[in-house]
Amino acid sequence: MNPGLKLFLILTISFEISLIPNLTTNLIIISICLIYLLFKSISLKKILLLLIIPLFAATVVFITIYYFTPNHNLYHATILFTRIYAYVFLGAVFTETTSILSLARSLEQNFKLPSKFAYGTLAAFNVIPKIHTEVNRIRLVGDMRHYHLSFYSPTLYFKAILAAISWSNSLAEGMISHGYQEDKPRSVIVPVALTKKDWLIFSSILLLLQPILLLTK
Amino acid sequence: MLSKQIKINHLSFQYQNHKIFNDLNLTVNQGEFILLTGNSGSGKSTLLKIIAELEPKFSGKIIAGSLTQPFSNWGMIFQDPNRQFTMATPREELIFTLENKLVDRSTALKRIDYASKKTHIQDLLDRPLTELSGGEKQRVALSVLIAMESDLLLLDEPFANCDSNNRKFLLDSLSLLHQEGKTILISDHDFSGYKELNPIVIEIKDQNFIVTSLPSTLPKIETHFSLPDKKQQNNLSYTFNSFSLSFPNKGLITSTNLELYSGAATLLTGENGSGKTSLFKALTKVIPYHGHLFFREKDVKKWRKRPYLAKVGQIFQNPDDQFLNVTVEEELNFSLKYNQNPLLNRSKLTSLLSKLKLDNLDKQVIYSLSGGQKRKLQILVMLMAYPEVLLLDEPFSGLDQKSVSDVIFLLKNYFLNTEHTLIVISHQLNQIDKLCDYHLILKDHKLFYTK
Repeated sequence: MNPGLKLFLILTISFEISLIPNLTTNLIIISICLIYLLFKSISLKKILLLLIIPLFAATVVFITIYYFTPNHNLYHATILFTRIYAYVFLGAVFTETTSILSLARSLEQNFKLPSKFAYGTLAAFNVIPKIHTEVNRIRLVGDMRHYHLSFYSPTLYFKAILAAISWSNSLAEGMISHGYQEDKPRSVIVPVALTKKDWLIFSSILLLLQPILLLTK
Repeated sequence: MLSKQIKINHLSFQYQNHKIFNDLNLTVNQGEFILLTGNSGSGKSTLLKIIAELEPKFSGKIIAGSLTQPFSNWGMIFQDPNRQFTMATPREELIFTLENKLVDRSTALKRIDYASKKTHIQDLLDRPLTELSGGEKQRVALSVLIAMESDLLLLDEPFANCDSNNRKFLLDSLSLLHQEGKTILISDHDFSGYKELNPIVIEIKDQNFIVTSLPSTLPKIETHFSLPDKKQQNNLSYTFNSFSLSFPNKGLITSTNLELYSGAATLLTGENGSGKTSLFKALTKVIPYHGHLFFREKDVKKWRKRPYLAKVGQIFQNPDDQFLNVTVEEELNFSLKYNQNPLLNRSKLTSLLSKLKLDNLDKQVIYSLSGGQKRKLQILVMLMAYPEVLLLDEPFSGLDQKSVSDVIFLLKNYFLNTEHTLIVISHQLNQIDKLCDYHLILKDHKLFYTK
């Protein structure tokens, strides 16, 4: 499916389930996402992590609603508990099946997002692993200079921000030197298709969702 | 077609109230090959950036004169190979660039094919850029300019992290581009390999230009090292026992048995991408290795990180990586606070700073210093940390000969003695035999001593 449209679909579904509390819908979304992820042969370890990591937040929400609201509503607590999982699984379906580059290309080509946002974000995204390496190296340098930087040390973050500023400057120079000019038209070498089929999938999923949301509990 | 000209007219430029150029005049005709030289900090990078119109911005300012630069399809290769790519792989970068240049799909695919063949990067096209070596990245950077069909090529010390093979390969490619009529401006400290290109040599000195020529005879670099004599050596710093290394997923060093001696400086050479920097990463516990590697008779795997790194320090390829503060003064005060070197104290440091021409820089932001100034400061800082083993990764890249001898002076007088060990990765072999006693080579996945 077209990456940009997929993003809008996921956002629309998330928005709807946050407005209309509905347990059945949440459960259906979670199971469909799970089946889809298994179908896309994502590793079991990842699925396990997807189940475990949100558990804390979901449990906190559940306990808050069930024990600390006046009417101890189990139904509402369960809805909020499953809603968090629905968000996580919707997000996972998106990130596991879409590359950030194809999303940037799709937003630029199909949805007329200005290229500075699409490529600026993409460039920043590609810098993330470098910043990660940078933070590790700053800690390494600290130890080599007899000054241990713990993960909460302000020096570490100050230096990391300096590094990020310097990276962003080089990144801008690199983009300009490779012919990038803000607000100038660009050609399309790797086209991203937005087909009737994509729109059909998009609208049928949304159409199917509405009766479930409105008619079930 | 009228030929284009870059015209610099009575140009004066300053950076943070510090004058870099005074009344510059220069005309570059289309198709010329210009080699810019000059000491570290003389302003070579700044000049190239002014021509590219990447300067002035932020702290830089043109205070008089003007520049006319009619080439719109210029391209630039930067000194730091890591900092010029937007995308994750060479192919994506090439596509991004050609899209910027409004090239259509079928022409783009042809150009990518042509440029990658010209620079021998076909096998690298879909590899993550973060996994490529410095020389490989510079070949990718050149391929981008070839694909762009740039008519003006600006290269800022592009060979600083290249070995002699990559350097020769890139110079040959530039020679071909020059024959095709491209205008090329390149800055370099090393004159070797330029003779056939017949460049116009311009030295930047005292804020101005001097037109000079290539030295008629280039000093031939011959190095001779002795092989370590096992009987005489009693102090071991490292022992490699069935040691092997692969990173990332690529075999770099196969089973090696070797000893490194303390009280000595050992040069480490090898092709680009052979794994020299990765070996340093293994020595600083950044990446894992197989087999055994003993430091003071204890396996490095068993050393805890903090006490180990207090004894094993590194001078990073990029000096910015070494600093933890903002101004020169803060950095030096920080180092003095944790100073472990009995040969250095505040008064000694003051006299050293003036010898190295680093005095009067107290309030200056480190990141705005020149490459050479940063390097000298970086070495001073690590001399004060005074580890037992100091690993140096390309400490001479981007330095003029005077700065190289300054660095060697510092290391010999304030670091090397029977208890302290240096391991030096360097492609630049000028003066290296004044520093190093032994020569280790990493070749065909094997690490061994050579003469």
